[in-house]
Amino acid sequence: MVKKFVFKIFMALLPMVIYVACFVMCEPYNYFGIHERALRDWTPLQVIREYMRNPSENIIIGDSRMNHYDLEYAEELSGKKWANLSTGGQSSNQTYELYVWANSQVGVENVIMDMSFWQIMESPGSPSVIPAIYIAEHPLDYMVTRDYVIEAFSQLNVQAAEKIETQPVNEAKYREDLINYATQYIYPGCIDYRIGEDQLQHYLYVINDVQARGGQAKILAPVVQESIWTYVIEPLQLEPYLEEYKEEVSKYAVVYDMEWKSDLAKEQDCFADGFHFSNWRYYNEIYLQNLFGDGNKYVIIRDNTDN
Amino acid sequence: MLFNSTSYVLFLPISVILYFVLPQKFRNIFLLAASYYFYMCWMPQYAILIGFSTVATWLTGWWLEKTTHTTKRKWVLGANIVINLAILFVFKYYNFFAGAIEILTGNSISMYKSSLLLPVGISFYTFQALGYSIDVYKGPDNGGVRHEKNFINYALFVSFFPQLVAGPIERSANLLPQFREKHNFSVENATEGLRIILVGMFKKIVIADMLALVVDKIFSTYTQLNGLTLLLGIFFFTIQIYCDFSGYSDVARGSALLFGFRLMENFKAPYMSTSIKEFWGKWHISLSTWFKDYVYIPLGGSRVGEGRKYINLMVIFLLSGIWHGANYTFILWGILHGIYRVIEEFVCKHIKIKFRILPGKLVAIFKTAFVFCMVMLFWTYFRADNLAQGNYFITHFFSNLNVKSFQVCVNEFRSIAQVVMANIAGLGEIYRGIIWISILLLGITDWCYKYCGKSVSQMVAKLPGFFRWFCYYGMIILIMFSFIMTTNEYGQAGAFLYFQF
Repeated sequence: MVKKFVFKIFMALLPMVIYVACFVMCEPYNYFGIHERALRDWTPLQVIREYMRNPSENIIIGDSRMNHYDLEYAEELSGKKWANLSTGGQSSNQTYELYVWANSQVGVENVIMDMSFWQIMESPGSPSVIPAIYIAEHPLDYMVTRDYVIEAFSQLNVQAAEKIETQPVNEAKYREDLINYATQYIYPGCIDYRIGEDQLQHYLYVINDVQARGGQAKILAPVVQESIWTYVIEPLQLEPYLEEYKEEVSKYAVVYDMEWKSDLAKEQDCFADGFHFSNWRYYNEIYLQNLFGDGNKYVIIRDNTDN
Repeated sequence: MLFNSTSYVLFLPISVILYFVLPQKFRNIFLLAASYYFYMCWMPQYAILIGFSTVATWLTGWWLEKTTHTTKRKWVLGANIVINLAILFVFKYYNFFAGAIEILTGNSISMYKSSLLLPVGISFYTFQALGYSIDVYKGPDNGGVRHEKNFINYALFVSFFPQLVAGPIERSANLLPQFREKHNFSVENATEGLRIILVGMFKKIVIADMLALVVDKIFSTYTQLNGLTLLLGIFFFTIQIYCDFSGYSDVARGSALLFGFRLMENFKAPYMSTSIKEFWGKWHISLSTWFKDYVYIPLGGSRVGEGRKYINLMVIFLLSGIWHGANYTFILWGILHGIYRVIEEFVCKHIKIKFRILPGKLVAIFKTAFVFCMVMLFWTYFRADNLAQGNYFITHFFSNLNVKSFQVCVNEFRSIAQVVMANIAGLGEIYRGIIWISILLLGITDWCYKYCGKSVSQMVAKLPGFFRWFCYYGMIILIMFSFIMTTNEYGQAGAFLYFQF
């Protein structure tokens, strides 16, 4: 009778077993590490889960401009293994939360993060990544959280994009026109521009914390295309703010400043929009080589850490 | 830890397996530890309060049994009641009364306000422990009990996890003897227990939590909505609170039955009542009988003069309102029920109304509908955040009522349903379908319970195998769907409404 009872229990659990199997097959974050790659990559949940599988004391963190590094190449250049915790549109409070979490997993020794006038701007901040961290640590809850379930089963018709070296980073139509991007999407947000104290403190916390434990922080101020200079920074007279925050941060860590009107910034062909390169190889060849190599003519190294 | 959480799905079967694997002499200790673990998943430090209440009332029972000196027994019982109610007052009512003093005196005393969190279940386990000490005081010859000498058994009685945080408020005469007995694993108990849990989860997750989405939306945007939509919101809340609480009680009963323990039924189709007296005999039965046995009867009950009886009734309902929460809305809700109860008592005694020309069944339907509407109206204040919001609802239900109002109400509900289903195409319609069909099924099953005496789980058990499994799978799939649709960003579903008490 007990055997029959146990059999009936398994029968009753069948819908749940089928559901779990379907969910695991369809979920887009590669949560369980069984897919070749995640469909929803460079999102907090995906990068956190990836980090949990491959933790490292050396982390790259920041927004989408830090997404496209070849980590093997970074290891080749630096001699260290890196993990990437950058996510699309990552704000300062998210950087802070992800750093604190990563530090609680393994003691972070080296941090590379990006900072730009756009990220340091005073703003209400973005949604916390704490829920994503919780979900990453609780697989059962992941399988029943509404938004993730909806995403999983809405991916049924989506085919995974092929990752090839020369694939354009972003094909969104609005970004085809650099001027439109600058004037319609960036300019309105910068009209009442102020450096955010909270934003600055989030970044400084990360820098000071890792250095207090004997580690190193490197700050990258990525390239900003000329259209942003012409239609946003110069009309709104934001150059003093750019100078101010970079000088301030350079007192705490070395800043690899590429956020100026270099020849690279004037190039149009290699940009998908005012902030992003159009091809992944630029991230590796230009940014990584600056951070781990001898630098190039596009970077100004600001180091006021002795002051 | 909530019943409707992934943690409980793991906790319960592991607890049941370990309970029956352990030798009999360790089982109650294990269950006690599991119960404290269950409670401490919420806020560990507040387990101290349960521990204190347990020790205080157990020592009181020990002393009451030791002495026969009447006055001393009264003083000790009184002190025990005061201490336990004082703890309840500090955590639950202090800020409310501080606020009342502020209003009365016009002076701000915000610096004296407490920042203590309300411990989950404090109203339930405090009353349960107090009930025990009063029963020991009464003694077995006067309808009470003997003192439980085994402290583990008594501690388990106070903290038994299925009914710890939201009842039913068990009586020592029912539950304590069960902890002294040996329980072997019973397939019948386990099957019945799981069936009751399934029905409870259906009520809680498919009906209550799904309704909560639209009720919360209506209450948060009430000034922008049509009067009939507000009325629809109250109707949904009437169903929500019933399914939330009775669903929880069902899960509690079913969970306890897995171990072989039988808890009391807390709800017996209360919305099928033909009088408010009957309603309160079938709603939150453990609380209403607690007040009856430990407050109403000691005050004289119905044995006193008519006027005094009405006062006793008002006192009970006022206390019931206060028990539910430190807010004027709960007090008003209690008072309204008290007034209704008194009026009904008066009418039944002095005014004989005979509906000879109408069939008895039609009269019963009318009475049921009337009681339901009155109870639904009173729930307005129970749900409202404050009296002003409650008054707004009451005064706007039928404002600007015309033919268009119905269409506006339908459109507003359709729009809200779409929003709460994340604006995903088709889900709004599915949501509304689930709501209406579930409410219909609830009405049918409660009607069957009242007139045929069979609960849902009993009816399902009697079905032929194919139909029975069809019901099981239907409920399981709907529970899974509804659970997912009502989770937040942490994968947590809605808490039980009565957790706030």
